[in-house]
Amino acid sequence: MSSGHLSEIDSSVQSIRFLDGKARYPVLFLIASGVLWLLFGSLLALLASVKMHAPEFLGQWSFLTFGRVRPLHLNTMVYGWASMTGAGVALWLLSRTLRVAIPMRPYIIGVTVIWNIALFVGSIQILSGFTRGIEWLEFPVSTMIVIVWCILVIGIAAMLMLFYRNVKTLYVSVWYIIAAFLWLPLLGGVSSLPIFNSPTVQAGMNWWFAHNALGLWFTPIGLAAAYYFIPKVVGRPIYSYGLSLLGFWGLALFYNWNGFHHLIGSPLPTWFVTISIAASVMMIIPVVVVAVNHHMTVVGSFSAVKHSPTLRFVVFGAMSYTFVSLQGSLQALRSTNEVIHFTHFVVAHAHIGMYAFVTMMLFGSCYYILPRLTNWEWQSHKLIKAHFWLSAIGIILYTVPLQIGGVLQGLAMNNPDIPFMDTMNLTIPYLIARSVAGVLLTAGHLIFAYLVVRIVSKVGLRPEAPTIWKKTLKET
Amino acid sequence: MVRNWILLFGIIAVFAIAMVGLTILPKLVVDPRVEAVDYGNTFEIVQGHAIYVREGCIYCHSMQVRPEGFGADFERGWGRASEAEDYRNLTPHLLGTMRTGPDLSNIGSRQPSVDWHMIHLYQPRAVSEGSIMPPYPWLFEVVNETARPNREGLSLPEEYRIPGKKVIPTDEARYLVAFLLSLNQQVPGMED
Amino acid sequence: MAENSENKKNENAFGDEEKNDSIFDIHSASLREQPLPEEGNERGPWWMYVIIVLTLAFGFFYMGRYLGEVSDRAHVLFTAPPGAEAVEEVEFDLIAEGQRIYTRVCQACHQANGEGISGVFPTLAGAEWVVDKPDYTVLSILNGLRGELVRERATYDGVMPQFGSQLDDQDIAAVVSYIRTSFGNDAGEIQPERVTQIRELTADKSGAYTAETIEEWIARIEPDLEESPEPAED
Repeated sequence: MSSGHLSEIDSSVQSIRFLDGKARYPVLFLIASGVLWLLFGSLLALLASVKMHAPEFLGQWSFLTFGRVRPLHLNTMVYGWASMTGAGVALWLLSRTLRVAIPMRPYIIGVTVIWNIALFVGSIQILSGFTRGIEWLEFPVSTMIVIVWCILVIGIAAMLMLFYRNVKTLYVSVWYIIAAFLWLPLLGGVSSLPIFNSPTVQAGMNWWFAHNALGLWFTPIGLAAAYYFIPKVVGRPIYSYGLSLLGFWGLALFYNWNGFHHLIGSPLPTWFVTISIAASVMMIIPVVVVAVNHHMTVVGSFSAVKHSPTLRFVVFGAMSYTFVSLQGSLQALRSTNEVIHFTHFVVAHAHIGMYAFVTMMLFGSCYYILPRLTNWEWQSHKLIKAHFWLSAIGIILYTVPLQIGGVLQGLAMNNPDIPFMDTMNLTIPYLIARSVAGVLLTAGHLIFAYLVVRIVSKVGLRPEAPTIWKKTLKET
Repeated sequence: MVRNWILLFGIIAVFAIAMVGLTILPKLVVDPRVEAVDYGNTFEIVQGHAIYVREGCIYCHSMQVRPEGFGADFERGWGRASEAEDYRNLTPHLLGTMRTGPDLSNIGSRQPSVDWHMIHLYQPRAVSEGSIMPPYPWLFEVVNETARPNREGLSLPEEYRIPGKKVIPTDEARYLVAFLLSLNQQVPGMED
Repeated sequence: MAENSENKKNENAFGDEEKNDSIFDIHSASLREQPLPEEGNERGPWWMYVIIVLTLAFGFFYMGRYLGEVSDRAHVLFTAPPGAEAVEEVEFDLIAEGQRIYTRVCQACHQANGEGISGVFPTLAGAEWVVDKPDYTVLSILNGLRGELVRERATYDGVMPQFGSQLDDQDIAAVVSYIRTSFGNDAGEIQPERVTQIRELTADKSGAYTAETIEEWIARIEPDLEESPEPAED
């Protein structure tokens, strides 16, 4: 075991101060934009959630109807918050792990401006009814192509970094990020092609895209962050290079095929669906391998999880990834899908993926990256703590009751003796619990946004040491 | 540099194979079945489909009936198992993944009453007690009782009437209802 | 490894040069965090390999078991093959079947309790046409009903769609029997044969009835019908 050795990355001559300085404006801009869309998306989420148990609430205005607010919530969170912040985090990670300054900085800032405009235009389009009407792809094709193009340009910067790197070996985070930057533009491009027009085929494309947007874009970025921050903060080496390799190629091989498990019982030819179910089950392999790899790296250093804001969020995210993926594999089986398909269970599952995993991972990354970009410190460890607990308790309060409600809903739906109205009525208490959870989550986001504003504008006194919950620790 | 190319090639290859498997192949397999059917979609139906999409009905209503023995879709009277031909070849697709409300694959034959659909769109709780469906008042005009003598107002239950006013469906409401009534599983060439 | 990057001192391919930062700044940045240690090369616990093998085995088994046929057919292997479950021939229950049909096609308007919605959709509970004159109900279901309609508790002015093309005679008999025996109604069943007879006698009628035409048609077909069902005792 080579725990005593520094990796090549940290013995490079490019100082991190230099790299972070070059990363400052593009990455800060991406993250700040993301946080803005996080707040907007949270507002939409609350609105949509309340409308599910109070249907008359703001029901007079067409642009605030549930059928428009809900898709816009998803799109701003996915293509605004998570994609922008994710792209920023990914660029920073590449700069660190490849030991090369981020290139094309003015272009990156430029496309981020365009990206924001596209999101703004797309938001108005969806609220005023100009939707493409395909789940996860509600922005009209033209708007979506602009967003995909923005990510493609940032992806070109990533490729340049890969080819002009100052290190020889590729750290595991690099594999994931490079893959993500290749996969997303391909996904976005293929899904915009006007060739999937007959309804069932389009439904297939729809869920192939939607599942891959999570699996081939957010998941790789989230895992890349985990692979970097866990050893970095804990100060212990990643347990096994071999397992990293197995985990990465396992994901690449199986995740691609998962999408059709959203279409079990649909009119698509059965054999496609069966292949997807089998691939979903196979996902257990990379997930368990990655979980072992991460767990064995952290094990014995759990005190760091207590003291480091970054690690706390990242470990929460990594554990959620394991949980949500294993749950996903089980959900894909026909017998479980028969119950949970068409229910709130799936909605809660998606939030474990996008929030408890991806979003928590991004929060953790921001807590590490921003002090380095701004050369300033977080203003309050109490507020960081409050943010963590609001997010953690909020998402648990969101998902656990809603999944219970979803199972009950599904069981009731499959019992023809129960009137349909009752299958909906029984979910109401769980939907109200979700609104309460939504308030907690939004409060956490407001705290986070406040902290970001404070650190970016360098308000207050610069704390002497990193903002952590224990004096002796070096890193945040 | 070899490392770079192995990585890039591998990443794109796994993607491309699955893309062909889950998007191109289904297209090649299913499209011929749908192309053969002539649906005779009218202007009203096409417009109604667009309004269904615009108002996001899909987020609460699925349009796919699972086969008998898998769930209770059949027993609930939602129709036979859906087939690729059932969807009138309109894009975007409306299969949906949520059943906060009931499946609508066969709503045209299950609930053919125009009156009911109109009232239900204007105020779901007027005909469906306890429903959490949002109202769609912007598909209707509220005018004075005496205005537009040739247009009849909705016959709403007592508590939803507005004194001295009547509620008239707009063209959009008519299109949407025409689309809903077109949703049945009597596909040309698939009778049985 | 370190030697390799020695040559590239402080510059990279994009012409970015490292300058202006004081040694102190550079050091404080590096001192602030821990270095990234080189990856280990452990093999992983044995049970992980057991999970991998079992998952692979299950995945391939599943694919073999449910792949069905490589064709354009949906819903393959979803329904149990015929004869797999013993087909228990339940005695046909007119009322139970009627309830299923009512829930599916009637309930949305006439409501689960048969009360309808006052002034909008007529009530079936205690309605004359349901309890005493079921032929009116059968006619309405077969061809639909429109226009002003004065009933016991309210006046209606709407349209009831026809269900003659989607419900067969047995279905109509079942659902009429159901509403005649539910919601506090206490009348008898009516038989499919009677619906068949009425359907034949009204085969010429196209479009929905109105309050007047339904009276005319009843008067026209009444003599040809076999005996009316005995009126319910109140």
